[in-house]
Amino acid sequence: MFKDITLGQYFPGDSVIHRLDPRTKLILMMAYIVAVFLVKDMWLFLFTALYAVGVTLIAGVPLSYLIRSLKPLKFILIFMFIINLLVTSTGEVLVEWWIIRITTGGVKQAVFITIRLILLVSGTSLMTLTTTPISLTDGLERLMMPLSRFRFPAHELAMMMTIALRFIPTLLEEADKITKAQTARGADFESGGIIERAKSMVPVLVPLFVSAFRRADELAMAMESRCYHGGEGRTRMTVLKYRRRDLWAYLSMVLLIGLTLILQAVL
Amino acid sequence: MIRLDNVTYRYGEEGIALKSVSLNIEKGEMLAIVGHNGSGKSTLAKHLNALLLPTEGSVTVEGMDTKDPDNTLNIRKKVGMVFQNPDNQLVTTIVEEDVAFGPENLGIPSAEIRERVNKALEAVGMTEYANAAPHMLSGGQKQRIAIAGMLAMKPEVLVLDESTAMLDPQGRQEVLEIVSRVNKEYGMTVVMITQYMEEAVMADRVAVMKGGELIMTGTPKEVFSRGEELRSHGLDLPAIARLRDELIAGGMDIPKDAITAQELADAICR
Repeated sequence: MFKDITLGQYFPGDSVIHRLDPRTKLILMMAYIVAVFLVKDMWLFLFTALYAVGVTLIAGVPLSYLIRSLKPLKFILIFMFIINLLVTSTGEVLVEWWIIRITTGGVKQAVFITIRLILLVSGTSLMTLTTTPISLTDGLERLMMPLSRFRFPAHELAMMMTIALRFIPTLLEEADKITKAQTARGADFESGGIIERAKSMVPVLVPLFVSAFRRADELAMAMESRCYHGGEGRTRMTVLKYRRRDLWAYLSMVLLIGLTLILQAVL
Repeated sequence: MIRLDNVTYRYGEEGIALKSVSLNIEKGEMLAIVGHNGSGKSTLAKHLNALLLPTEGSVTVEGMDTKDPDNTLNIRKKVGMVFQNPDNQLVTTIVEEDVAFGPENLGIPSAEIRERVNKALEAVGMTEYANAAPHMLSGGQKQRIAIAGMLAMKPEVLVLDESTAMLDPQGRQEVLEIVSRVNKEYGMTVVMITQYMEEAVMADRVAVMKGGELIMTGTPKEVFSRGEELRSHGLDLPAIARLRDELIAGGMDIPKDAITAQELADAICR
């Protein structure tokens, strides 16, 4: 049951967006966050939203996927909406009851914050939806490379992420196996309250950890045998290379930010 | 090629895994090291590429002493090793990236890595899985990828540390075929650590270990015609050699050193 697990939320495809350099996508994602924060008037969200929708369409990612990525955040969204609704007290009073006081300014602010949050999450989701975890790791390593001059362990971090990605499915499979083995010996994972259930996980976690350490030991030996000696003097088979499409992607973002700034200033 | 000179390996206070083992591994040969669990055969294997260093004695790879840290990288370039658990030796999430891992560590230019990876995948018959994820492959397939990862580094010696022990019969067969081809076609020296006597039959030379000592070396024909002696050490003969001895005991005229099914069949039909 764990075999077909997909990591992250990558939506396989071969669109221009998928083929963009991961560095481009990482930088554009950060720029998009900036663009969203630059917006001060609600209607200017139109452009940032259109940008996200446009990217989604070009990438061929179903909109439902984007909406799904918002699901885990629904409580935060509702919470933020209510807080802003109650705390802001500008404009006309719409409802006044007991200590609750809802104003037009409050409604406006609540909607504004909610849209902003939705756009932020969609923007970052779009990147993880269209980039495989491994190329994301590659992109991060390359982006952080200049920092290694200041002893920042860019290569080591990327290596750790790669190994983690490689072993998550293996360990999940093993967790499944151990769970079954313990169930066969009469372990009960389903009844009881939260605390009891958490306690019942101990017989699964202990062997899992022991095995993870054993695996780590063997992997280290295998890596040493394959002449791994850190990032120094290491080359790569696939070298990231900027192409024309990356330039267009950057230009589109410049356009979005420029448009937002100009319209903001004019109005 | 590789020379072990009175190698003794101790661990902890009392533990002794190898007792004064001397062995010469010749260029181009296929050597099988057999023995029970705890006979020291895996410890011996890990001495061949400086994963372990001898407590006493010395190991030299083409004249380079494994004890000198400056030699370590060069020794590992020459001596590739495939381990037992196929899951714990693949590093990345894509097959071809994993095969590229070794050459990348050696600092080889990108275009050449690409070429080596393609050739290595072809050599192990895994070209169509180049973009697969390792955890979706069978044990035998994973082990073939691990071998490809070694071939891409172009070592002169390939050490297989019980690489077939965790595989099903089919996976084992696949791996053995590739190993034998690598030895015959590429002339690569192969050291095969195994507890299956059947696998030792395909080697040029067999070394038998027990309790950290090397108790027998010779061609498979020599070693497996000494059934009594092997049995006295608690080791068994390959199935064909057992059948041969039974037939001889039953009064048939069969050469004492027949160890393949073909030889046996020829002798019976004669």
